[in-house]
Amino acid sequence: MSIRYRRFLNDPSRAVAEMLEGYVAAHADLISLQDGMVVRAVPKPAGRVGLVIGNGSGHEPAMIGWVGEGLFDVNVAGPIFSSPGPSAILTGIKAADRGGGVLLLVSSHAGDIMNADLAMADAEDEGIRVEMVVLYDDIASAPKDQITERRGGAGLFFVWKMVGAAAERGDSLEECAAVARRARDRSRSLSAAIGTVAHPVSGQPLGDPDDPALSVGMGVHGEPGTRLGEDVEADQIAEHMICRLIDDAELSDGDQVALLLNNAGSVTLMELSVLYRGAVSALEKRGIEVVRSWIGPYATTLDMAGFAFAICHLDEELPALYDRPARGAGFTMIGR
Amino acid sequence: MSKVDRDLVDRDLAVRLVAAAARRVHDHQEMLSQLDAVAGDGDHGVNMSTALGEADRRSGKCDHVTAAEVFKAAGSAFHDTVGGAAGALFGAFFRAMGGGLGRSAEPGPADLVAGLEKGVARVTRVGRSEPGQKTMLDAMAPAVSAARTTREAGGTLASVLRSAAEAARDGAGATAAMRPSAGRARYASDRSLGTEDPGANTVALIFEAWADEISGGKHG
Repeated sequence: MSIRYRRFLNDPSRAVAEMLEGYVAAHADLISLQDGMVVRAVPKPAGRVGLVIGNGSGHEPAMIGWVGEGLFDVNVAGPIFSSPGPSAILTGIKAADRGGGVLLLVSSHAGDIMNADLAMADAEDEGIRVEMVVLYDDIASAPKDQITERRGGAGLFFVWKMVGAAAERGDSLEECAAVARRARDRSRSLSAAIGTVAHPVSGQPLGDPDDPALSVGMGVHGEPGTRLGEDVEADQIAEHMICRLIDDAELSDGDQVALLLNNAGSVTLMELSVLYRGAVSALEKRGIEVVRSWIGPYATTLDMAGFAFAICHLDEELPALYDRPARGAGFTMIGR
Repeated sequence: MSKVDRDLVDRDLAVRLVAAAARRVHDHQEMLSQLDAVAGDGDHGVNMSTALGEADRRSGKCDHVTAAEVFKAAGSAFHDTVGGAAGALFGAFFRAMGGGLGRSAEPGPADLVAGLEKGVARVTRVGRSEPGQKTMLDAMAPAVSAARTTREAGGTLASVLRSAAEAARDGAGATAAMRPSAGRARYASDRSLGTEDPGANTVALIFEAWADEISGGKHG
């Protein structure tokens, strides 16, 4: 497997800061930089709940592209693949406060939770009204009876979208937190990749650069998964992955889902489309209807040759939140 | 009587200890990143070197007049610069260590041990982890426990830190045979078998740097 070590960067240790400068300059109508964080160019109306997320960089458009109307108020981008520290998260919480309380959303990874916990303790000391919801969806990362040990994956984009809509329309802090938990509990994801990528700063590959196996269930930082044979075709991969998602979510004939196919970096639209077709077929033959879908780069791992399927088991209320408009630099929805 | 004779962790010694840790980790950052790349994302050495470099810059500031303030500033440097699990945990360790030292106006070996114990307790709580899970605690917990034993036998700062360094190195070595059950590495439990935990190695490097610094600036 080839692995790309050379990148179009200056000093790699400056890459995150320079990325943020460039990205907000390219989208100045939507976002700006404040204390090194991505914030909305036009703040949300006063009194609404502010939404904050911190995350490691290297997953763009997550989450710098998800700041804007109907989405996040503040994104605290950390070092590559590494959560921001508690000081930065606390600054983000303060910046998102529009008087309606702040909801700190955390994609479940050890460092993200630890730093969020430390920031929450500091925020409470300062008397800020803030709640935290930890989100997870990756079925490969822990068995179902240890669901809270699972890590965050591509299914969380359903959560971001829905909680973003709830906060924008004026739901209370408690209501927003409840939407986040409900969308989380109805979402699942599973990823696959061939090969790996190298960390731009350390130059170290994530995992074994010479392993050509196709691996299902790896994490967004190259954590390993189950190996599939080298001769499996796209339809077989899609069937295998969707079947596992359906089992875990306990979906049955007649259920409606939103389906997301995430590009982890360098998968072509040709491959994604073939995989998407296979996933729809795997769902439909079990009587499960795909009523909403997204396909494209949501959470990448630099230019990883990988993808993830995510499903959200829709209920009566979630489609209305899903369908509300959103406008960020990396994600736009006109609404319906 | 000189400060060394009085065997105190004063402000100047604390600044020297932070600087020694920063130099030592900087010199080994590539090795730490390679250990991290086996089951993690290969940036541990860079991150620790960055954070300790900032800790070194901040700790010598004139407004820190006690060792406790120096260690707290070092901990905040981790929290302000690198993040990640290691940033959260090492930051919590240094801050709690400063807090533990802070109760004494002239901290001696017993206060150092109390500070270290506070640090290891904080890491256990923030990390929701315990020894045996292939983490930094597998070096930190035995180091602190050795420090206590040495102190209770009447040890000086130098002998306390030397015993801590030896126990930390042994603890880091023992992580090679462990399977991770905490943190991101737990998803790569087979892959990391046979490789030492990077965080435990950083702990060993820091205690070794401290032991060498206090016993006369020997650099290994």
